[in-house]
Amino acid sequence: MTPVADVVLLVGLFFIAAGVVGVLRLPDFYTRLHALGKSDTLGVALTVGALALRGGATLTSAKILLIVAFVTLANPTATHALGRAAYRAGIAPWRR
Amino acid sequence: MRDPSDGRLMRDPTATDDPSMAERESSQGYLGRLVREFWRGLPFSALLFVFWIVLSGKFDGGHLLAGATCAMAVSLWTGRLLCLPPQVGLSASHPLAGVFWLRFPMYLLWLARQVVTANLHVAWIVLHPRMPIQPCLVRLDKPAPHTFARLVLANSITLTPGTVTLDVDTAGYLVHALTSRSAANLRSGDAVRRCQALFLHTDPESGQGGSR
Repeated sequence: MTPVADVVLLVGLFFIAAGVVGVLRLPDFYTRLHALGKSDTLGVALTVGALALRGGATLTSAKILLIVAFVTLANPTATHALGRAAYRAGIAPWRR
Repeated sequence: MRDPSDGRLMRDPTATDDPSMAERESSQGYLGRLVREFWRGLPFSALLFVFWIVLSGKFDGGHLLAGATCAMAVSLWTGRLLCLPPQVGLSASHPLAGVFWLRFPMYLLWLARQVVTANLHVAWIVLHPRMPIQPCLVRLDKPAPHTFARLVLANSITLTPGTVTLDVDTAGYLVHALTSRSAANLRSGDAVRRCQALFLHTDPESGQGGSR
């Protein structure tokens, strides 16, 4: 189980790293939202899920899966809240 | 004794089933209302209790009793905030009752695939040397039947590749698309169809809007 968990962990970290690169490289607020909103959902789910895989069928793993469920729910909502706040504050989207 | 408008605000499904019982209970005043809210909040209490057990990890009588007490108390205190008036249609008493649960596993699978695709998409764009983005705003005029359906569709759009929902109102959605292709994908309406299929109750007015 441990090698599988390690691979899952690395894949999760790759997505989080891609999100960070996206925040640094993308040109404006809205495009950066894409990088964070997407990569955090899968990145955190995989990273934390790998810990649950390592832990096996324990209560701690159940708690970790709860974290995954709540992050999956909260992340698009937070992304939307940020985007909406920016839109209402009048930030113009970047155009090529 | 109690203000009758309270009963209207709560829209107790058990009360509408049997009007005579509702009248009797409301005449009992505060205690009757408390009992009614307790029964109505029982599913939520059970959910909170399971949550408590998972988080505490202790199964002795004292902890379970404390958990059950807290779960019921929280459910009683917050029940009125969480059980908003039904906006699902005439026959459903709660938003969750309006979900086509048989289609829910398929929807979850589709959403999981969308999340993975979205992550690969954004990672590819971000790590691409030239960063091929053509951001644009898309107005999507697809009214959903009720607030819960709007929430599900707005969050689903955010999780599908290259799109983030910026604003939601009764008429539709304002979506920021990262590339022109993701904007085209959104307009093709796959996400909208998937989410609309998830709900049982669509009133005729929004049904017309959806087919527009």
